[in-house]
Amino acid sequence: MKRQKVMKWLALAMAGAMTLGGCGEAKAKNSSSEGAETKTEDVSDEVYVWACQHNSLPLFVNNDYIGMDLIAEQLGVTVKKIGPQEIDLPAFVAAIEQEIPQKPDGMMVVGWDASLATAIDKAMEAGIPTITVDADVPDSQRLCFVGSNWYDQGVEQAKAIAPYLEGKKGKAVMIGLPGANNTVEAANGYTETLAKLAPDIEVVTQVYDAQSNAQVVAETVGNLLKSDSSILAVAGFESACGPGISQAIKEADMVGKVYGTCVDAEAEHIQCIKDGTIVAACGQKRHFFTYYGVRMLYDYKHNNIDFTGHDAEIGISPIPTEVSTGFIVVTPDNVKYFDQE
Amino acid sequence: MEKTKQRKRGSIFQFVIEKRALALLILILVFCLAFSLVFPDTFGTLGNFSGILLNMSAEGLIVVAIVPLLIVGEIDLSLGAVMVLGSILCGRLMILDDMNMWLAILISLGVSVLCGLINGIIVAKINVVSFIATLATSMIYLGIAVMLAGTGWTDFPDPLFRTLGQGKILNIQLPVIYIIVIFIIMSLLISRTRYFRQCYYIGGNAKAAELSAINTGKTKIVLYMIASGMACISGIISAMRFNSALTSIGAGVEMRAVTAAVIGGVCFTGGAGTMAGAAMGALFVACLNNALTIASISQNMQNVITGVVLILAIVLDVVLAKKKAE
Amino acid sequence: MEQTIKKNKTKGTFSPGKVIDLVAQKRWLIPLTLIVVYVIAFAVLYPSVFLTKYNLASLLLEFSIPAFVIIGMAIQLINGEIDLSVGYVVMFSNVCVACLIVLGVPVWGAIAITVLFCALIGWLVGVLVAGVGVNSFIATLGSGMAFYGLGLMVFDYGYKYGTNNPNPNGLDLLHLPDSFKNIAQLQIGGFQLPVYYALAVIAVFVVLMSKSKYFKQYYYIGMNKEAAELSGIRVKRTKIAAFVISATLSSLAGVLLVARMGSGATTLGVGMELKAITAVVIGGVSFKGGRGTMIGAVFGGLFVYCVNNALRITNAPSNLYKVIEGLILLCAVILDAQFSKRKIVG
Repeated sequence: MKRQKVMKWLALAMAGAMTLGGCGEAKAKNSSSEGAETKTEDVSDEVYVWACQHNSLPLFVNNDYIGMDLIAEQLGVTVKKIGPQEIDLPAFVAAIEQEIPQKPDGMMVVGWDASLATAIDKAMEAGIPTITVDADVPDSQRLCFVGSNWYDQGVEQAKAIAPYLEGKKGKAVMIGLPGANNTVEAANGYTETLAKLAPDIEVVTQVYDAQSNAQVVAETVGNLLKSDSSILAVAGFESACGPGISQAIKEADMVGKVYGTCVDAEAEHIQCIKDGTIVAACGQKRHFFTYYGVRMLYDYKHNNIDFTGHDAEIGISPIPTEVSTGFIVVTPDNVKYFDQE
Repeated sequence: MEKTKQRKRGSIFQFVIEKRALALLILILVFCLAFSLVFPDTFGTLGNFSGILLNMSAEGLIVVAIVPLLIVGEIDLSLGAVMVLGSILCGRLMILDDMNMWLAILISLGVSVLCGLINGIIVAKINVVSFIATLATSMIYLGIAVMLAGTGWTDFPDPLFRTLGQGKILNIQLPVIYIIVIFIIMSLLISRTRYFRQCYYIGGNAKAAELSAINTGKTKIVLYMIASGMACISGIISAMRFNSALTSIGAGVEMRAVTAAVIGGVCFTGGAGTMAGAAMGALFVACLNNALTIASISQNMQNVITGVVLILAIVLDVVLAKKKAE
Repeated sequence: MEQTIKKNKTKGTFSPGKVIDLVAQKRWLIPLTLIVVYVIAFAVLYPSVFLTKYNLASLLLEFSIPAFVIIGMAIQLINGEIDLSVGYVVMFSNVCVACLIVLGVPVWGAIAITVLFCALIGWLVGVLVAGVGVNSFIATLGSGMAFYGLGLMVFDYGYKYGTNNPNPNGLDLLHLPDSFKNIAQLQIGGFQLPVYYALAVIAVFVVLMSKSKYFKQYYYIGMNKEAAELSGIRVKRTKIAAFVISATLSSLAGVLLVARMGSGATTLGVGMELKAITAVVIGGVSFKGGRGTMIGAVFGGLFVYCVNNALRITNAPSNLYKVIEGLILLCAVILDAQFSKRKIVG
């Protein structure tokens, strides 16, 4: 009897889980029809998908989600999020592939890795307009990339730190995601700009691995600072870098001797500016990624711009191939405007 | 700093003269001395050693938490998840609900201990193998933590919170002091109290322990609760250090703790090993990693070396055990 | 080891006791039933999405590569050991084979070298565990770390070589040749090749584990190592063989994974050992050894991926995935504990 009870509860639990899941979908449909305005076209059942991994990262929740919700409301469409919670490329690819039969009206893929090209191409071949946001996958058939120009990110960080390195001789190190396109571009921008603005500073070519973990960054940078006293600047090209670099500088007792720059200007990065360890947090205008991402996909469907009269046949795109979203550079001078309540 | 270390360890040695701990300590001292001669400015500095201890402080608590469980022959893979859960919950209560710091810490601790209770019941009463039981619960606890994390919690309003994580006494960082204190308390508890000494009997031979009227189930449940409580404290200390509660901490921490414990002589199947040994194991690994980074050996090679050291340590254990039996 | 069912006197009556006994004996019925329920439910509720060949092909493809790892893990658990290094073997194999190809080694040579290397290490670990007597948890924890470090080193080297590559055909870890990618990316009848490979390997091992005398030894060893030794089974050799098999299968999985993804990455495969253990345990393989079937393990794995597919189709909030997976695993192991308590006599 006990066994039967257990089986019964198990079955009920499964049914319950699936019903709960089903409720999610039902709610989404309702909200889209509530938000629909009377336009010449009824777009209330259009669904645009945002595909990413590590989905509940506060960085995304604070920025990308807000952009998504805003544009969804303004256009009267639905934006849906897919992808695994943790860093799991095969599951990410599977999520994209299994989304294709649901025939969304457009898909934005955050280009975590070059191997996403296969999935993006599959979506394109299935007739789903697909673009990349935040990080690009240049070898795919994606129609457009909406995001920061990462070379410029490196340039901004170099420009911000150059005044602190004036007349000094030493080294600068970089930390980020060594395999990612973003980091490579940013590293190039940083190295080339610093070579011009602070020629006595040698930028170490090896980019250290942040592993998306602030504690790892703190440890790695901490060890670096202790092993090489000629390091005067640290540049971080991934979101977890800012707090980690700041921590390392403080714990190595080098505040005022070593300065850091980082990407993103969330609360934890702004905190580092107030501590005097980070001199520039180059925030991306992340809201734009999803806002203009959906906009591009929407325009792809609706803007009716045709250059030759038969653009679709010859493969000419009605939308731009790149939307460069720009930066908000937070420094000790303007940090007072960024006080969050 | 070296003097303080030795003084504190001296008092523990009076109770626990375990060959492994002593051998490791000697090995560590020799190693550090040698490296300090080769790299005097970078390795052999006070700042460096305190840095090593500081980095150890977060995960060190997990080592302290997991050793009693290993001694009774169990394991807990959910400690990393509880670490995150404790830190996120505390952050959420303090920042979103504007709760008093001590109350928030208390509630987080309570929830974590509850998680430990659940673990203990599943392992001790329902008789599920601890590896798989805690693997399952770790997924659940982490999922709950992520759901509570929302937009992440930064900038704790209470300045005392930050000071507790970033302040110093006698130029020693506070988290280092916490872990030394907790370590001493747990060592004494395990070696001096009869209740905890039972752990060795349980680990050595569970059936015999049952027969001699030791309530193995209850003991295991208590150990799981203590372990989860410590994981929670570890998470909160991490939040104090960084002034933010992040979901990106704690991944893989249980395996690293087991590695440290095993190198320190704790027998994986239970019944042997000491807290001191495990602490030495953790210290050894930390010093090794630090030395290798300073010697510019890539982080990847360090992984390989740690793996090899682990295997060497356990091969040594097995060989010695066989020799003893002969 | 077969368990004899209580012979029910009243033939023909479908008593609950009889059903439970049947299920206890053939544990693979549980995940199979769940899969059938899932398929029917979703075919009815979401026909346009679920029943497409596309979705099924994607689901099977997602499962096909981990299936290799699941088979290896099942053998290890039945045999009374555990192998925590498989995820890292997958990761190492993926970067190793990619790097070798980038350096100019012909595709089949690169695959052979990678798989042989992993098999060799697997053999070494097996010797450590079976010969020296090291605990398999710790031994594979250590070897996993070593594989991880090696994998990262190989990736660094391959990446640097690739970006400074004087080779005119511009191969680098992110651009592998089609001749390699086609191993996993070609389709037959709408399903990508790994699905067929997995089918073949699954068939082979299911048959082996149930019919071959050699493989059935794993059950005896898992149940009682000493008794197995006394009854003439060469425990050491057989256990070492299990480690070699597990390492080889995981290595093949790594090769297929990188071929499927199209570029080497250091995150591929990490964490697979825990997923494999989850799948295998849901499928009825006991953690204590000696019980469970290969087919059960396979169904368990397929079920886990079905659940993922279900969560995606129903648009469940992604936060819930881990919690649901954990709950399912928990239910499975609690059930397992209950079943193992039940004494079944003939």
